[in-house]
Amino acid sequence: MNRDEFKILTMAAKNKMFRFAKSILTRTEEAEDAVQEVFVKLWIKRDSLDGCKNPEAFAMAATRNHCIDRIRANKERFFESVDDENKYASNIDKDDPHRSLELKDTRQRVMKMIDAFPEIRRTVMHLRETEGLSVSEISEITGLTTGAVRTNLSRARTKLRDMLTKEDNYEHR
Amino acid sequence: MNIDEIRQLIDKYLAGDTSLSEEQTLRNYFAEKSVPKDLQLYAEIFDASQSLAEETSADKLSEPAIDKAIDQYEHYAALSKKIKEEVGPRSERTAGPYWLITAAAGIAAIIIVFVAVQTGYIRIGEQEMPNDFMFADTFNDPQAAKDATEKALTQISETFRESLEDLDNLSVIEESTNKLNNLSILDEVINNNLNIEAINNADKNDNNIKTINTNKEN
Repeated sequence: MNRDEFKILTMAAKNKMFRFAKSILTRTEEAEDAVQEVFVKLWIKRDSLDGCKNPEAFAMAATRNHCIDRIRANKERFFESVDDENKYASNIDKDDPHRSLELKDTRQRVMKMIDAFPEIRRTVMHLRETEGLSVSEISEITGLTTGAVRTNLSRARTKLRDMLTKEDNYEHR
Repeated sequence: MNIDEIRQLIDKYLAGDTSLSEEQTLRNYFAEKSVPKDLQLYAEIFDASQSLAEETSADKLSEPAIDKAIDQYEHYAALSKKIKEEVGPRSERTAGPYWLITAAAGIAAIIIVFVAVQTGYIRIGEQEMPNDFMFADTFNDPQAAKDATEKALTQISETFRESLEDLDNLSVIEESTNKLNNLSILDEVINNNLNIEAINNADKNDNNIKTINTNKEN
């Protein structure tokens, strides 16, 4: 794989990789740094990308492994509470600031609940709900069986429903 | 799609069994219509996950940034290759004793196998045993069978005895270790001497100070 081919692949996958990294690392800057490092790792392994039948899944799997390594290497930094004010700032609707603020709050609420899930469940949830990947693609990226992917999806969705129901009931009492 | 069908799809969704297109149906439904209160939380879930899908990376992951990262990597890779070439590959640097040890170990292994074959500890090229050799009758005459058994048992016991004699040699090692223990006594004596020396030095220092003090007084 030459440099131009490599750039075409990484340019096509970079936003997906970035969102994936952010879903694991939660911070924008952290995610960007991680993906940049993954690019170099992929460049070193560019010959194995040639023989790969799904290079994008390969890149996504590499992204996940790298993010997990990063968390392991900097444990204490990741155990601080993550409260990135700019996290959803881009979603503010200029026409109706009040409505968009409300929307921002409910999004924050759901995202915070998902952030508290174990890594694998968060990952499966992200790849399915945000990226719209098929079960077999998720299985390829995570190394889980397709059955395990479905189980994790089901658990994550059910848990999210339970948490939201519980919180709403509490608020309305 | 009516609300009952939507509820059915939600159950399927919670079980993790919906297809991508079914999930798209749900997403569209919750984005467009106002839904019953008990289903509002699903609208929230779909909305939150969709909001992230539009997010894109900043300049850090732009094409020039990737070029720069690759250039940097290639630069350092070339540099480290150059350093390796100048210092010489690892195997050459450690050439001397390393291959010698490997060769010696190889030769020793060959000798051990050779001796083992010669003395009959390992047998090579012996005829294959029949599958049922454990139970096959080999003797017709009971007396002959008894003699053969006795002979075999004697051989085994002799081999054991010889092996045990070899173990006696271990006592030599033990003696040597004991001798080494005696050395520690020597060590203690030396330490004591050093202590005495230290005391002597301290005394001298004291004396010196006293001399200085008396000099001062004078």
